[in-house]
Amino acid sequence: MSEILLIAPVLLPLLIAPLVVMLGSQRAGWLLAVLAALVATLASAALLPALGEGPRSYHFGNWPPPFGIEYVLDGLNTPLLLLTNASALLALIAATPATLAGRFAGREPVFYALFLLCLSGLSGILATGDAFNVFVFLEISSLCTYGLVAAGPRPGSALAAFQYLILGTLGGSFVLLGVGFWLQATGTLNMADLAQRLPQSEYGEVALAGSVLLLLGFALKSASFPLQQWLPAVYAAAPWPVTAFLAACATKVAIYAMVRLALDVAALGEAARWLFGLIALVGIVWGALAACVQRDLRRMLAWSSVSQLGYILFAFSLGTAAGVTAAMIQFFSHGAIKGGLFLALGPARSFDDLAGLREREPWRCAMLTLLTMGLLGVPLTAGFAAKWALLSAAAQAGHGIGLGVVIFSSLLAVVYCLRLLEPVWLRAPQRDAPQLPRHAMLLPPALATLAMFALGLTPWAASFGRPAAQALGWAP
Amino acid sequence: MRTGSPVVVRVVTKQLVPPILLFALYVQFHGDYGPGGGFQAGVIFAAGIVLYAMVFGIETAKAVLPPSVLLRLAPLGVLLFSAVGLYGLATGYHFLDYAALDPEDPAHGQHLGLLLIEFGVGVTVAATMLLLFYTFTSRRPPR
Repeated sequence: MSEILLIAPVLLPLLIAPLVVMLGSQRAGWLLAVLAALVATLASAALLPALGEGPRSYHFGNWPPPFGIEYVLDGLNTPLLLLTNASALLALIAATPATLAGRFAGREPVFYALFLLCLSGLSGILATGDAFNVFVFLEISSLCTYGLVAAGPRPGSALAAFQYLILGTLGGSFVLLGVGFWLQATGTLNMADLAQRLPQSEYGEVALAGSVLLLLGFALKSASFPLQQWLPAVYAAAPWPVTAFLAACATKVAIYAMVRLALDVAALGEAARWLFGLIALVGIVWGALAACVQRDLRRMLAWSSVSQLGYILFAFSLGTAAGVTAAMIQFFSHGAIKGGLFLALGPARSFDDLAGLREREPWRCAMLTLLTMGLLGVPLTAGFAAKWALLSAAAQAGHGIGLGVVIFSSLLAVVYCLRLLEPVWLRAPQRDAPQLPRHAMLLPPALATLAMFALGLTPWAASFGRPAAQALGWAP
Repeated sequence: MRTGSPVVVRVVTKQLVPPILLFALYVQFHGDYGPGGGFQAGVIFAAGIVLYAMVFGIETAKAVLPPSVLLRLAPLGVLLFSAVGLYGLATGYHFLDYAALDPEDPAHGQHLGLLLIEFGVGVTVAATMLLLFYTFTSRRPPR
């Protein structure tokens, strides 16, 4: 039974997706998708208690690794599996057929199938212990993302999806090339096997070139500076539940892949961590500055994501157990806050759409305000816990520049967060916002808000720090 | 029927389509022993239908294989693939362990499993290729 749990989070959405298309009913499709995400979330939560017992592996088709494909769940990827599935669950609850309202002319089942396949792809990248499998799952999730983005309500949605397709395919090609180079240098695709053989390979340059290509591919997919340009366009163009899902976990999965492949499998060590630190710190400031000057509400939040994702990469670049703990807290904190913000904003696209929200929808206004405070890092929220852990980890590692950059970007966050709250609280209502079913509007962002406070008040996310650091070999 | 196709093209196409489809089935089911497999077979099968559609018109081809049927066939192939995997899981083996299909003779089980999942791949690839073709020719989502 416990063995099935290891593959359930990936397999379940993958198996339900064709069923949703077969049934062809939008309501049944939505229910099935929510159920699949719910069970996958519960399955990944059930994996957490045994986190301290070290990595667990599942051999597909009973072929032993390194010949067969194995899934390896350890302290680093298991918590992220829960984050991914939980954010998909909240986004799917919000994505009722009524929310999608006529965008698909009777083809909503295909939307739900794409959503589930995207979820399965992201979970697959996390769970697999096979380098080529990472590429396959990356392509599954990316192809589905293009379709989901193109389903957006803006006239430019299809164009944004196409531009993302071009860039994403470039990224995917780099990843494929990198895996090919690694295979050429070592003759194996299994990650544990690669970790042993890469340092001893007689084709050291080939292996290094492979690592660089893989880093490049995943830097693009994770919107790390300076390859972040696609992110704001995609977040602005996609249907809002999709934006919430992507903002909560998609780029984080790519950061995981970067960290796993560069620091764990290829063990590039000092050089890669220096590079991570550099692109993270520049990205933190660049993203925050860009967020301050955006005219579009969603683009502003997307640029803030670029800044916040930089925190995660910076935390990993410290190379200490405290840094990994800070990264794990930031993974969950940013997932809950940014995902929750996009869910609470709903179909609102411009600052004007938020005008007078205080009178029109007090509950939505309250959640938006609380989540924005979380983004700011106000005490009691997850944002504060994450920033505190990051600052103390940077101080412990003696990284003065990083300390300064994180504090400076927090000040910039005040600017863009106030820009979000100003229309909500101070402006008079201008026009009617589109009406939505109340449960879809309120339940998912409410759950995200609760999660944000739970993460801020309990050391739950910090407890993943130690197993994650052990998985990377940075803690005994 | 498109009147533009000359009689030679139509007669030759009528002769060609059945061997193409037959060859697709050969590539499908001989794939275990020789070059081939579900993906190639699916593409060849779809190519046969595409040739038919190009000569006799899209509407005639849609009468043979309507998009609504293809939209069901594409997930059906995936479900067949997954069913083989789940059968192993249900009988106490690992996911996609084909030995579960014939515990007495695991080698035969491997053959059978490969045959079944490749057939699933073939069905899905052929259906998806044709759906893509219909979509591009109609410039509207097929229904």
